[in-house]
Amino acid sequence: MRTFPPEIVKIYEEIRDMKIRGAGRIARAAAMALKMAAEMYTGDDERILEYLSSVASYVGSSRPTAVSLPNALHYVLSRVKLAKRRGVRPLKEVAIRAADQFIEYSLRAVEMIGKIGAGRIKDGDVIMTHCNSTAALSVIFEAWQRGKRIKVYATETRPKFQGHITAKALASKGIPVILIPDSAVRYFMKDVDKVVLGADAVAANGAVVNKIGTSLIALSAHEARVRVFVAAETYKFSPATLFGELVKIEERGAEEVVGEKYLAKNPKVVVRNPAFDVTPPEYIDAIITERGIIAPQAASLVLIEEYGREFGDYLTNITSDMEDEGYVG
Amino acid sequence: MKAREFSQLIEDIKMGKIYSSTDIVFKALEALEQLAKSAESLNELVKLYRDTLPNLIKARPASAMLANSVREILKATLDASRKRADIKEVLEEVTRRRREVMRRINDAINLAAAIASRRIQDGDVILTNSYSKSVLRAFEMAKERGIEFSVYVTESRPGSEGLLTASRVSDMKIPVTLFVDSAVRYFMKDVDKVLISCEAVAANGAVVNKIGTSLIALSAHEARVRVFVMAITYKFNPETIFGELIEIAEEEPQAPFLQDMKTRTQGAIKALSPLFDVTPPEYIDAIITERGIIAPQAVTTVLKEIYGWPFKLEDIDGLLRELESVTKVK
Repeated sequence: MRTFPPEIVKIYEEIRDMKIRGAGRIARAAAMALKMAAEMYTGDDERILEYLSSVASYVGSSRPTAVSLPNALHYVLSRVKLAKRRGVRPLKEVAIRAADQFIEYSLRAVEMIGKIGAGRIKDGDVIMTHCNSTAALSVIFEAWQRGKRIKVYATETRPKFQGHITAKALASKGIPVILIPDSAVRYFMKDVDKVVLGADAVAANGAVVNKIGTSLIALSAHEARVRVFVAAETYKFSPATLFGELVKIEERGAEEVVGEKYLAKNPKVVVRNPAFDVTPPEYIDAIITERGIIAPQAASLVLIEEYGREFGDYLTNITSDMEDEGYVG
Repeated sequence: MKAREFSQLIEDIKMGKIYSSTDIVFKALEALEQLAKSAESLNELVKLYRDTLPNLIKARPASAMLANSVREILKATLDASRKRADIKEVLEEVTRRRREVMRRINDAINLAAAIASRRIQDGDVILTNSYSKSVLRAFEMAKERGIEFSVYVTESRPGSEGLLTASRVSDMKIPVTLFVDSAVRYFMKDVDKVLISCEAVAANGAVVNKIGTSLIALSAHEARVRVFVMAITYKFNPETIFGELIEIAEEEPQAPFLQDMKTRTQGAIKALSPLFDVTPPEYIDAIITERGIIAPQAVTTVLKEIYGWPFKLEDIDGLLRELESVTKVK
């Protein structure tokens, strides 16, 4: 394997070790990695695209589930590929500009989502959220700022307690917040008016991949006729799912769930630690994107609009796979 | 000295240090008997009961088995006192009844476990939560009968009793997988049956059990996975027939979960931690008792068999008052 500059290795490791967490932050970090790669590139002009592609696949392999990661890399790479001016300098500039553009777009998207989503929150609403989602928090913050007196239930979010980060962020703005164990979701659901969640990926059918436990909360909300809103930037939508690809659910280490001591004492106990689950579209009332609120079933429209012109590439890949496998001549 | 041990036990119950509801009842009955033995007169015994029993019940207000067995001990005390027996004889009767109650509970658990174990089939994946002696006994019996099955256990926050359950199941050489509570729906599609225990069963067949149980049942219902609840009839709450609600206790502020939350958020965030939740009867396929498997809707029929109809139920406070008046006469 190729070796990469320490700055890029650091980004890779921080995403892998969840020091950089959250689909939005991961996406921005990935764009930043490509920007740094472009800036530091010293080779000849023939190889720059190949080099950036290798950085992209390296950084892209840090975590398997967040679609924002490949989408951010794709955003930058596709612009370099399609650039009309060739040569190292212009291509570097294209890559740097694209990365900056993506980061700026991403930050603005979170803000837009807050503005759009806040309209759905009413004065006096009790909101439940899960894990730590910048986009979901953006909605809650904006609603609070508009003077809506709300209260938030935040789940602790085992195994890594991201709910505490959410609770602290809410409390720091003076928003009343109550931490609850994940197992108490149904107990409190009858007091809840709306569930606001983030997403790590949105599939073409509107299914939402998010922190483990999300689908249980959505199910419980559905049972209690509580509305479920998912706040997700459009770069979290997964184009590959339009072509039948499944979003891969990452399973992490056992030591995140139980201590090393327990594992050593109980070698036969298998500890499984899926990081995400899939919430079917029927439990989601709406997805709040920076372009507006959509029904989850409209996810494919967002994908076609965003990636439609590159679908040829996907189809070419599928066709050549089929040729390799002898299905088509 | 006995009094201090007794308050310590109440403290331990409140803090969730004793995992199994059966263990709580057994320890409470034994401690109560020891305490009673320190009484030198009937009056003193009644005063001891008056001072301790309400606190004991309040330590675990949802536990029907605790209230039911304390009621039996009180009844035994009252019956013995009426026979003009002296304190020594009364205490002997209390001991006799305590042993009988414990034996009946043990027998009932074994019977219910034997019945439950028959619902476990080769190749089954059984999901359970928290820590239950009855469920573990059912696993053990199924294993003894040579059934090859595996067990999924949730961590069961806030107490994390699932860790001990996983450990015990693995000691029985049964394959076991542990995961966080929020992963229940993720794994439900691999599960064949849910087998859980409970703290109490209400008259309408609703089941009070460890927080998170109703989420598991809901998720099982969605996935068309059968939910079996093990509940010996001692766990049926007769008061609910008169409209009483079962009180769901919150975790004590000093208990590990809320302490942990406090440390992690520097005390800045409010946290709530109810210990139990209520699973509605429509998510429960059957309740497994020592008298056989019943539909949750048939709980009233069983209560009627035990307490008659119209219902004859002495409440604990009433029993205490009666006991006071009987001893005063003397």
